[in-house]
Amino acid sequence: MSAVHLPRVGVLAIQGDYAAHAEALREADAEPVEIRLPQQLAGIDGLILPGGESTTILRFLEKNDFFAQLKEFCSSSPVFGTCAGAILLSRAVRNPGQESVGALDAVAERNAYGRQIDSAILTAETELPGGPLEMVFIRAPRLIELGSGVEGLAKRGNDPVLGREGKVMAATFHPELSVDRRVHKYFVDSVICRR
Amino acid sequence: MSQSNGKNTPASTTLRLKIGLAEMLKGGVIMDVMNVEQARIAEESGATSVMALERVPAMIRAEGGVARMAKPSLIKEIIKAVSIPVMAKARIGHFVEAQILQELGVDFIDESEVLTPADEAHHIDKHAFTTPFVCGARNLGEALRRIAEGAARSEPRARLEPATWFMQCSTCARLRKRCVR
Repeated sequence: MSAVHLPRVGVLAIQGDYAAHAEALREADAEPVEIRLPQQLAGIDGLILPGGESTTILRFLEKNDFFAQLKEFCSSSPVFGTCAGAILLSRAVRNPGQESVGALDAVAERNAYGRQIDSAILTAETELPGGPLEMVFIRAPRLIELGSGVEGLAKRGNDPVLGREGKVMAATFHPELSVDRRVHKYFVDSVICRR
Repeated sequence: MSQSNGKNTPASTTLRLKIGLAEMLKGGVIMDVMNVEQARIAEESGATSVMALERVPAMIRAEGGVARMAKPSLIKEIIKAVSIPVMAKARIGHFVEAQILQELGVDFIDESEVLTPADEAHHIDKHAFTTPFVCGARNLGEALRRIAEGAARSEPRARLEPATWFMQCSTCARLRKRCVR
């Protein structure tokens, strides 16, 4: 692959494990760009909303018109949210309720599997080629009431944990904390397709 | 079967989960709180986590006496009140306090020099817990010892006089950084 035309993929770098995502993007043949200001959204082909605390990230997005510009970006470009990022992308949030971007037609239920002692690493089947996928769940949310346009790519029991709706992707687990780069490659491919 | 934490270092599933939560807390602020009202204010203000305490460090230093982990009833109330992770401090070497904190569902345990140390020679065997631990360390040697004992996160700290606390912390942070380089 030519190194000249790597897609530039932003990682929202307000709080959380954005550094792990940047590393994962490099391994998935993309050029990561840390996004801390709304005006930086103009220079990227796609964006990852990382894991972290969704309430904290939301608090900082309220400043400098960041939230409105992020909403705008999510409606026109490929975005991928993991854990807290998936909560931020959802249509609505419960347990407790809070504001969200609304790019993904699903409701996010926060801390749905319990506290840190209930965090788990599981392996499950996925629609992505290459066999079962390892999934790291840290105080994970659950996606419920999915719209008909949301395609489920992996499940935990009966719960969808990796989904895609057009150019919007969401995972309730942390693919950036595993060695397997299939999820990031899948997202980077969708970014390349839209360029 | 061995697993990897993504950096080619083999690590157990439990340790990966502990480090996983530490990753999520990066770039955030942990606020010391003594009641539900303060915990809610911290959450609304954007804290990534709250530290449930009977007395904040400044009060412990001013008032003296034995400083223990917070009351279980207080920790339970705070856990119920906020959606962000809840931490609590255990005395150095006091593994029973840590067992109680794990049982209460605390998300992170701080084996802290702010409280009165319970054991001069031994820190808690943190590998024996599923709850992650954070420990203070004055230099790289201390940090590595805490990590070897199973800590998932290390913070620059010092045991000290209030007047020079901040300066000592920044000296300690600089020293640790230099050691890593």
